[in-house]
Amino acid sequence: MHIIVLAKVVPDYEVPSADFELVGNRAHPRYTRMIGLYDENAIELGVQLKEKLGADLTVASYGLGDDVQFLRKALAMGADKVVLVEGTSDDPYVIAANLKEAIDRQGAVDLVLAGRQSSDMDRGVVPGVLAGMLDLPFVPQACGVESADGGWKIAQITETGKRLLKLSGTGVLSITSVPENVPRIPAVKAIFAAKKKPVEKLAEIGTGKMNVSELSVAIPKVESNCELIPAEDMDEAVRVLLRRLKEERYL
Amino acid sequence: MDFSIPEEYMMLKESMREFVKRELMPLEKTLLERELSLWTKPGHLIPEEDHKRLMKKTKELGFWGLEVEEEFGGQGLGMLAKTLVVEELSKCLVGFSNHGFTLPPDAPNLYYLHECCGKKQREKYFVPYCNGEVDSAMACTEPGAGSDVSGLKTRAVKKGDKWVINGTKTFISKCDYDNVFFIVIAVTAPAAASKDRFTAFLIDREHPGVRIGKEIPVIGPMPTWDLILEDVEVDDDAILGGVGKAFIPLQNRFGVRRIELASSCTGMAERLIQMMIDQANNRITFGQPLAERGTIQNWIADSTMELEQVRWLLYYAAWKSDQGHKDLRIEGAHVKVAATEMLTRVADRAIQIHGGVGVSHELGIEYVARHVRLWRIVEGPSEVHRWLIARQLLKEKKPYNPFIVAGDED
Repeated sequence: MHIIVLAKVVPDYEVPSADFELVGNRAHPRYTRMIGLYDENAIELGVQLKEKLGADLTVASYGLGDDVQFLRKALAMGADKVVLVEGTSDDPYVIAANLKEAIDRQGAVDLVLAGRQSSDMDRGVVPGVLAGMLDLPFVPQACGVESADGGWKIAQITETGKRLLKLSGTGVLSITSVPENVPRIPAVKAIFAAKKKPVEKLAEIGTGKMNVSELSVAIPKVESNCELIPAEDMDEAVRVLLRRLKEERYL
Repeated sequence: MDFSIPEEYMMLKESMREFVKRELMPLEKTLLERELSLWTKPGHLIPEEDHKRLMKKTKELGFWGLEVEEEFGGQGLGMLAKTLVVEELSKCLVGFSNHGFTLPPDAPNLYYLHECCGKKQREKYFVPYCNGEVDSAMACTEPGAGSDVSGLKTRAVKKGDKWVINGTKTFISKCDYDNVFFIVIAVTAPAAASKDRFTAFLIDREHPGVRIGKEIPVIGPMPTWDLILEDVEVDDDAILGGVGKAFIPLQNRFGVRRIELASSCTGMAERLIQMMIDQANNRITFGQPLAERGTIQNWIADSTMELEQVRWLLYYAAWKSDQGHKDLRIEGAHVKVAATEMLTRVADRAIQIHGGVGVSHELGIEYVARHVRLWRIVEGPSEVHRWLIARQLLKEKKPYNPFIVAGDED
């Protein structure tokens, strides 16, 4: 059994957006780089499936050659191999086409997992486009997966609850975060073992782009207004806070 | 010269950073509250069940004995790896406090035991010590003898086939631990030169004649006790190393500890500088953020310069240890003094920049200031270390030589 997880290396997503500095509509290169937030949830789920089912786990990525050092965290978490297509495009079609190329080279694949959206572009488009290119079903917002007679039982998060789905055969799932897939902290031995695991670098293939072009990127100015709520009675204070948050449409 | 950090070491740092964020930071408030109550109510800095959980998780993650050789159940990664991890651990008050949470086993005593344990002692003390089942405390200091051990009065006298030990030790830590034994230093040859005068004995806390005296409250979280030895009778089996031979291994024991102590200081200094930066950017006074004021800018710049001066000295000392250099007396003295004095200044500025909140028990900076005040005394006061450095250089009639020429690449 072979499971693929997609991962994207992004600029530090813990930097508050108000502090973010842009150069040519993208993050200034000085930011620390790391695997995207939801991608790590997908990797964690992949590692759990690998442990349960004895599957092979490959991480596929599209990005900069220098980002291998950050992708190695996935190997330290338990993945077996990294395949990186070296490229600089932000276009979802280009990224998906290159990831498809990388996946096609891996032989038979039983499942493809991805984070629900990248932590830099926050579009969540690539997994769906890739599923189309691979001619596979696409299930977004998945949080749990179990193997079930030749296919997969999938839990999908909805606004108010969970939906259980059955997928026969292989598919592409985009994974959201739940307490069960909080990424594990790599153990010391695993960190040193990661360096010995294989990393395959592929050259980019030329392909068409989406008919969508970016006109501008702006970071909204964050304003802070302070309103003090009397807290003599805690229950009352909570009620007032809740009402005010609703009134101002934060909830 | 190559100053880049190996990728694995960076990942090791990241792993500890994440562990601190998830497991230690939530305990900070508890630690600060408990530290205050410890003045009247004896206990530990963090609750027992939390301590157990942290021990279990760090063991699973492989963080025990990073610098300890693999044959003793360690990871054999050396002092630089340990230094980087302790820096991350010490960004939280819980990991910064040596009575909060530290990664076992405590290496200085481990190496002392390894060097000197006989066969029976190895089974009884060394192996359980490596596995974290028992703990050890050094019992050397006395009311009349600290850095200068020549004033030690505790005597061990041979009567028949037994040694009889009498004396009073003070400032002895870990007396309240579950399973603890002491490495008791006693005079066995009063007229001999110091290298032949003292003998180390391994003595269980429960041994007849051993009594824990009163706890000595001090400026910070460093619980210590008086330890009274009254006609304590032991066999030759209890002797660690040879009769009269405690002095030299005792001196060697300190090098590793000083590097570790310095890492705690640099880690915490980085955290305090972060707090200073946040405060400077957010706090508005007289219509301006603190960040706009020259004095504040100087505090942040000076703190950063002082931290980085110590940090690279520290990495150098750790690296040198990893290269197999055993005599690190100058480097150990150097980083110990530089790091503790640096953190003293940084903590003071961090308090000042926070004003009233800075001295409150809630924020924790005053806790750091008190703790580091202790560290300028324990493990040798600054003056003794300066003396050591100067004495060595004056004897050699040359300035310090930091250069180590790289060997041929294999």
